[in-house]
Amino acid sequence: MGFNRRSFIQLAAGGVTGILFTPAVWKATDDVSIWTQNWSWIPRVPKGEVAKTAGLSKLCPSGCAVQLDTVGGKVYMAEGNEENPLSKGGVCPLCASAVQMMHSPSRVEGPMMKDGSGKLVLVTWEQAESALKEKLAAAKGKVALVSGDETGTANEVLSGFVAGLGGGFYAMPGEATAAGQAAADMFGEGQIGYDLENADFVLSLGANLVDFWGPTVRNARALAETGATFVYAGPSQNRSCAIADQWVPAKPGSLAALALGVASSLIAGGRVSTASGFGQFKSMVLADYTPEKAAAMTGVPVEKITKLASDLNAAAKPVVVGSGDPATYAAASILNILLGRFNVKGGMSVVRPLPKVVDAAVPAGDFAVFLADVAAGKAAAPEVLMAYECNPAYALPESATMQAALGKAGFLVSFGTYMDETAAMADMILPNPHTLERLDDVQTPFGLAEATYCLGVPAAASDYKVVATTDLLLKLAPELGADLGYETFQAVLEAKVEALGADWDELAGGAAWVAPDSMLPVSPNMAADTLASAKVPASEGLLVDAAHQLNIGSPSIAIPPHNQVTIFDTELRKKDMFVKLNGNTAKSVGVKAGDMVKLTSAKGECMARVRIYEGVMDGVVAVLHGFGHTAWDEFSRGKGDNVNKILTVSVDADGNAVSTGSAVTIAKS
Amino acid sequence: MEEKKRLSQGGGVLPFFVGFLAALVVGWFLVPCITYSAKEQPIRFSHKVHVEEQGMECDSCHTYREDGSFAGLPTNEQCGECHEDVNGEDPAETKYVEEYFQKGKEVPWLVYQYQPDNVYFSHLAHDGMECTQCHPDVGNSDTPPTYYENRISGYSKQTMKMWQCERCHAENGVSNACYVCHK
Repeated sequence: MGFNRRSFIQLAAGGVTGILFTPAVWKATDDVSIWTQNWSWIPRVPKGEVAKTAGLSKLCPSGCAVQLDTVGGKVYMAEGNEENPLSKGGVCPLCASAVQMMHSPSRVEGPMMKDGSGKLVLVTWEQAESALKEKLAAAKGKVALVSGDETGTANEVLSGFVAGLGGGFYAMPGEATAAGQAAADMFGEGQIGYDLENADFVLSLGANLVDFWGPTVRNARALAETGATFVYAGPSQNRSCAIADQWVPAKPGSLAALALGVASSLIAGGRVSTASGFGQFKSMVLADYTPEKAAAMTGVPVEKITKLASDLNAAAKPVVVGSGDPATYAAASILNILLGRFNVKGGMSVVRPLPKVVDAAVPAGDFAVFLADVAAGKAAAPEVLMAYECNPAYALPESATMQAALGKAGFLVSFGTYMDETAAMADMILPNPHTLERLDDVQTPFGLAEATYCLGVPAAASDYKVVATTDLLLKLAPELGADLGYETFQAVLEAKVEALGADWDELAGGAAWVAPDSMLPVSPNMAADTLASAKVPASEGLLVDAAHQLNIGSPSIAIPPHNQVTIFDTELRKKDMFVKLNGNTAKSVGVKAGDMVKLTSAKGECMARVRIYEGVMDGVVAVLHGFGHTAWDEFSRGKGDNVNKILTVSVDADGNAVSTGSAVTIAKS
Repeated sequence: MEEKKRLSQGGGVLPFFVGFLAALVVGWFLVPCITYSAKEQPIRFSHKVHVEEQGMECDSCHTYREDGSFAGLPTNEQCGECHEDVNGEDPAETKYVEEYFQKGKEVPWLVYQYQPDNVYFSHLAHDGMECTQCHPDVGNSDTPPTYYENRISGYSKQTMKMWQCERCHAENGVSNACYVCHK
């Protein structure tokens, strides 16, 4: 008897049959299926006590007070904080993603510097600090710092630091900057606020109240709860307009003229004011902004302008909300003054500024204006340019020009948390902790009528090698001869809380401090210089109406990965974004729905597909901000095009950036 | 002649039975042995000392949180209430105090019945049952039992399987709907 092929087959057959009479195969199959639960890349559910803690998210320009859900001390979700008067339990689409953005694939892992080949490589904090100190010392005052933080006491540290070095401090352009310029011109000080909660008629001059303008969560809640009549004036229907009672189509850049046309009608109807400069203002509007002239400038019919005036006249507690540029804010302020709605409940007010605690702090200039001057050779490029919580390489109008001007800086430093466009072109990145990982605060978000203060303490330790920019600069300041009088940012915030007479522990627990008397008694000047730019210049081609939506990001933050599903396929389809034109406009320029088109302005080009939408007025192309990133991650990079490429910025006689509408031509690509 | 030829060709059922028996041995005895790796707890924790000598109850350490969720195993915070310093002469206690508590490191206890993430198990809902109906009777042990870890799945040998949950639910008239355990 030998062991041949047949024996082997029989042995194997016996083995196979036998093994089926044991648990081995079935158990192994079961184990393998369970093994798939534990692959290393599958997220694990943390075990531990489920709790809630207060947090402050500053991903959106206004900041949201949030309630953070934790398990085993680890934060896993952000919700609105019901205890906080700013959010009252609501949260904006950006701050709802705050926890996920802590783990964004775009996080900068640690300090980075360009090596000899120009590639950014990780370095130690000691190396980075030493290099920054050396660069700042060598720059001898030729330094500049731009901040994207609209509300933080951090700006006092940043501005004091850079002023101590003899440099310039700038803010990214935005609603707060534009309104601030109008307030400085008309009131001398303070911050413009609107008491939407107590108004019964709201006229929005392009203010995208529920999607980007000011504290959006509070705005939406106020409009919903009061049931006030809401009229939206603007070139196209956005999501704020979607909840409005009435849409008043008006050309881009013409909303100041519309307000002045309404003011002219009100004055012609007998409205007067005791405010300074009324006589001069009256002469000006009755000559230059009659309803007929305003109609020609804005595209709003005369009868609509006079009807708006009579509706405002008839309302018990109307308020007019400005947006966009200083002239529109000034014109809106004048309407409120004429209507007797200035510094009254349910109207517009000048909000008392919170006390300054860093003596060396200085006000911010407009970075777009500064960089435009650098681009034009009117201002010297800084030797060291530092960017804090902002992304000027992406978010400024005329982005190609602005990027070139940024490139002129001798040494560009990004204090960003993410690998954004500015960080990608920087010579050095010194990552700031994520908003939920750092000590920070929010002082009276722009648009709010009440002076408020919120404190955010770190809700989680960072998984990255980050150092708070504020602490870093406070450490470097005395070494560079610019001592700010504080050793840590916590000491600065403790001084702020003490100056307010607030309680640190209560604020850290999510409560907000609200000033007992927020209104600043000021004497308005109705003959504001900023109104000079209210006139709408003649333009050829289509006018661009660019809008932000917080779910798509902000000027500082790209599309959060978790917000992908909130973007409609009428806004972005695969890699192509859409621009909206109405049927008449599309026909007049020879394009149809779905066409890939090139938008060309004096400053650049932008690619998009056409969507026909009748919620856009004639001669206007409506575009969304937030697309066309070239850095960040796969969730935003290469998706659509950056509308900032075709937007233009101009500067008025006072040195303020103004938007008079960007004209483009459109052609099939 | 024919039979001889068949045998010389390896015919008959003998090889089949040899293979069959060998597979049974492998499947019933060898595979279970090599499927699991034996591990000991990082600290030889004596339940006996705590229960019999110190008079502690199970819920002295294994507690519910305020929200009703089960805290599971005690952390340094609880253990440190008594073991901030070495109290006795047991080397296991010395090891805990010096290598874990004083270094602020939690003990990586091996949990005999750790359930997968997709299972929602409420201890509070099973509060009327004896711990030992599901868990090994470690309460009277001086040395914790050896932990057998499945080399493929990574779970403990004693991790309760779904059929065990279902059988108990069925026997007690409790719903076996998916959502009862899989949220």
